[in-house]
Amino acid sequence: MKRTTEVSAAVLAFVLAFGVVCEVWAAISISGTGAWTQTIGANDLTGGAGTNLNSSYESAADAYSITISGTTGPSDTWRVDVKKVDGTWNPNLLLSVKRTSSGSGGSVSGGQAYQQLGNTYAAFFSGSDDVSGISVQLKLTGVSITIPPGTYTNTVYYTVVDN
Amino acid sequence: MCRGLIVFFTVAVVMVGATAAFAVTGAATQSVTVTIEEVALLGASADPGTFTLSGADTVAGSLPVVSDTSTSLSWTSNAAAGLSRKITARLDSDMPASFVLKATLAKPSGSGGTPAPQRTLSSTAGDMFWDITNESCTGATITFEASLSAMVPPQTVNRTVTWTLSEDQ
Repeated sequence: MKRTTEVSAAVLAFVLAFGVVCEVWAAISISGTGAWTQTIGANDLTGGAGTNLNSSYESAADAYSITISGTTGPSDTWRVDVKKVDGTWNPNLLLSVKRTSSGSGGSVSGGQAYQQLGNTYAAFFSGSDDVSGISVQLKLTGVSITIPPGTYTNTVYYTVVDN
Repeated sequence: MCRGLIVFFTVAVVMVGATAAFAVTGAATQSVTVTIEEVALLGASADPGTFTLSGADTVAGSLPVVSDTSTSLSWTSNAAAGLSRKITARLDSDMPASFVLKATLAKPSGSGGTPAPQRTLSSTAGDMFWDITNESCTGATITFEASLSAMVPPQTVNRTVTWTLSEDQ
């Protein structure tokens, strides 16, 4: 009888807690659209023969659009973290990111100055409530003629953390 | 019953703890593609002055020789891994008999390449600088040397030198 009670309690606890967990797991999500392709060639020299390539390039101000959804309302706060995962990449190339709009819906703050991306997550901006259309701009620096010609790829990861 | 409650709370705490551990609730990704194209750009600063071969500054019994270092080359070049470029020079047509035009190209600051020894220019392209990899350089001084190998009647000769930056074979 005692054994049956313990098992029943465990099952009940699991069911109730699992429900809570599932609700939280399903509560808030992040989605985004957009990509950035930059081609650099002779037209990007600072002058004619003998000069170097321009060292920095910016994407369109709305190169990426982020939407946060599934919050419980204005009191539900969150934070977006960002990192990069190098594909075929040159270590002299540096990527930075900044937020260029607040989108529509809830509130958003921070992230309006370029911050260099690393290979581990770092806080980008924060906000509350559902927000759609948060624009993000990227910047590439470190470009030089010393980098061999070729195609270099990277992936920027944005994740939302429910506070 | 008491043990049942303990089990209940233990399981619940573990599950809620798991929730806290998985507070990160999703990720979106953005692809970034950067293409750096090949660049091979070579420029000459100007045309050299006119070479006047006369007896004015020539010791009796020797042949006139004049030189000019007033011009230079600049280049910007990148090459795929394992490849390099070179600079060649050629004349639009060979010099007349007894006329000799030679040139050297100095190694500019910042270059990892290798200059060739002085070469006699002709209508066949000759290598003037090798092993250019990924670099931008200015002010590689061109030293022209015009001379006669034998005395000739007074005359004027015009030639065009074409400098080319190309793949090093």
